[in-house]
Amino acid sequence: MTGSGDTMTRVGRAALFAVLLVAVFELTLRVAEPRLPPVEPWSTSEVAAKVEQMEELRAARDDIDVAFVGSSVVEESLDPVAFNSLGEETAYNAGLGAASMRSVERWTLDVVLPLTGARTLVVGVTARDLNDGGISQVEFLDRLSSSPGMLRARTPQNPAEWVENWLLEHLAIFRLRPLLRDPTRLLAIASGGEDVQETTDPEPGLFGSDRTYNGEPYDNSTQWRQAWTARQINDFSMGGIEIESLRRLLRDSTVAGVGAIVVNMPITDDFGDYLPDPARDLAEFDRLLEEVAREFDAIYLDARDLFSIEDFRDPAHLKPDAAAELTAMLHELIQQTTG
Amino acid sequence: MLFNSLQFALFLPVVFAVHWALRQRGRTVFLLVASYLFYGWWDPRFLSLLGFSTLIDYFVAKAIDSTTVERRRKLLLATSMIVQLGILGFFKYSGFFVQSAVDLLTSIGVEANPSFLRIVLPVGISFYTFQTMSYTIDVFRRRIPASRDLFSFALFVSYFPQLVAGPIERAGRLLPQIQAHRNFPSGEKIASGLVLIGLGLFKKVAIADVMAPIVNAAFANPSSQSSLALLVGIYAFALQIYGDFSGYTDIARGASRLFGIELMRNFEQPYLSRNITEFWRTWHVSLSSWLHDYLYVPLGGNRKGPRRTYLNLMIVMVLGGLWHGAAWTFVAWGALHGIFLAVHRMLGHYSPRGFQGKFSFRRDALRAFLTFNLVCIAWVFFRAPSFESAWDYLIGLVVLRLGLPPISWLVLLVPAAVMVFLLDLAQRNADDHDVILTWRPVAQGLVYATFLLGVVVFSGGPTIPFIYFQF
Repeated sequence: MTGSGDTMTRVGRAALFAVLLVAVFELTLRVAEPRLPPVEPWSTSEVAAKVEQMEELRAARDDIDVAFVGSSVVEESLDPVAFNSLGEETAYNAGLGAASMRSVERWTLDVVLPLTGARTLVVGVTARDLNDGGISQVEFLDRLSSSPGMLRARTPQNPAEWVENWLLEHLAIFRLRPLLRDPTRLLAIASGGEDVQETTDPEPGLFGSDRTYNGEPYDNSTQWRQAWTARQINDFSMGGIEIESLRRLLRDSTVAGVGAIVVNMPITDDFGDYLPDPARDLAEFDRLLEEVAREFDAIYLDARDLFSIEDFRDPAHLKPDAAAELTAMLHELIQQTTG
Repeated sequence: MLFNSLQFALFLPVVFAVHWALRQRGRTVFLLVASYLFYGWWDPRFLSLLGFSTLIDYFVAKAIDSTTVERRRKLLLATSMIVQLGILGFFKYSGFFVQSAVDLLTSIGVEANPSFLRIVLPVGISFYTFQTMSYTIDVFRRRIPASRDLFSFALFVSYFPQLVAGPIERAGRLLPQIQAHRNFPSGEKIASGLVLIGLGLFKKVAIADVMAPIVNAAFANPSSQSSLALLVGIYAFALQIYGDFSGYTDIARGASRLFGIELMRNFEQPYLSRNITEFWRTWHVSLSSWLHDYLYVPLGGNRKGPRRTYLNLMIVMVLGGLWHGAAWTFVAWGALHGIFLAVHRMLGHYSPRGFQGKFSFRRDALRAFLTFNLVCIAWVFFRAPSFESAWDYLIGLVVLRLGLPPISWLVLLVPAAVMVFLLDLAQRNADDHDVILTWRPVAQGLVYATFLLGVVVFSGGPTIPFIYFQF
């Protein structure tokens, strides 16, 4: 048995020794940092490519008037090339596959608007984007919001985020975390081999969807349905955190002087069938979306039933011709409202 | 609010400082407010449910205590049980039972299309419901008097370190500590509390969360994995759930120690158990002892012959499985453990003395390894999203499918397993969860630096909530 004083002395010495070890580790990392491969700042190559495109546009002083934001539904169903061909105003598609409103909120406010300087925001939404119970949506948000690029871009919302930003800026242990926790990369670096970081998705084409349409038939296959219901719909519920994010997005963009158009995006009847109670859920979705748009004086465009099933490549994404058609409608609406 | 978040890292010191700046009465009220803030951070809507559960049992227990009429006492107890189990049943099990009934009807050709209520499961409801139920039952059994202090009782139900994932404390242990005059903890107590918090964070962030991607990959499509990859996957899950849950308990105990309140040990190095009975005496001790005291013993325990004992074991383990989640896979997990326990008893290896002290490699390694693998087989049902998936997993383990797991899996799994084993071995052989504090400064310093670096390096990725929050 040791006395309390002995224990405290030992703990005190041990704590000092631990601090010393951590300091040595930090210094070693600082020395090694220039020779280490760079830490990927963004969660997916799609996000990284979009950021790079927007940065290039900003560097070239190419003004972007309109930014499209939302999930893959926006990415696929709105066509900035078609938009740009209709007049002098320019658009950029910042839609992110797998995002929901919570991701869209932070992505738009912290990255898209600062980089593009867009004066009009088109927010495309489906019931899936307002689902509080989706698995894919949460996973995407987690990856996006914990990526170093997003952490640096964000405006700290609370003291904890402020502290984290400070640590990221000043300590190599924090900056190099993504590298340090990847054993395969570390082993490759240690053995002097090639860096083996994997990319998880294809790069998107400039200003447009990353998926090329080659005339495939409408896809509502079992595989699609299973993936959709298990991961995107899962424990479907609306009216909570996701709609709150849309509210904050519209509120903050209004405060920043950015006009907003909320689009109830086109879907097929099959999409509704994935919801637990299709008629009720879609009616509730329409009501929520229109109510929030009205609350912030945003323009509301209900495009849900504007297209027939031949216009879709799957229950939630339009074919290119239909996407160009929807974009033309939006263009006209923007012309009417902004004069 | 998650223990492994920066919010909590700021919340805890503030609550600690304000708590000790107040007088005794103020401390209880302040800890209660802090606990409600902690819970409400997740979803304030369910604070009313927590408050309702508290008020029901506070007043029912007082009424039980104030009457000697046995019929009235029983009626009051039944009221409390119906309300508490009703709340738990509604929020946790209604969807499960409706779906099971629909599936049954469909299987016999009857079309059923009920409209489902979409019910969000309040975090920690199974934990605080069991805690408050044990209080009312203990008052009914005249083991403890009813609390006359609503604030203290409300804090007993909602005490933030253990509110959402236990340990499920008994009123006889926790309430007196809440009501007693607490002195500012000694330096040694504070140090041991901080070390427990550090150990818990390390287990959660650098062990459990690191195992999570391996487990997710192995269970996502078991039929496409090699047998060896599936074996690594299930070992990784065993580490994940242990690191996650015992890590939570360590943080809870460490944080509570800072407020002068000692919470019970919930894990006693379960993977060093030499048989399945010992495993259940060392895994989630607060739940297994709850089930023993409030279910197994009232059912007759082992007092009514061997057959009835086996049946009681099965009932307790199946209900214990269902406690974890509203799914048949949890029932299967519980049933499998019920069978293991019954067989162990049948073979005559049961020892009422509990676990038997120090771990000796020569004597215990093989038995512990076999027990660990039995536990791992059952974990397949616990983790798999469906029976079909669990079956695929077990088939894949048994039918030899050649191939190696990704090297990164092994690079992560092996050091994690070694660290958990060494930490558990040190705690077991010293019979002391604070054994690290007795080590030489250099050894302690190495451990603290490992904790700190492990937590820093492996945090900052996607937030992975504690597994037991969903229960």
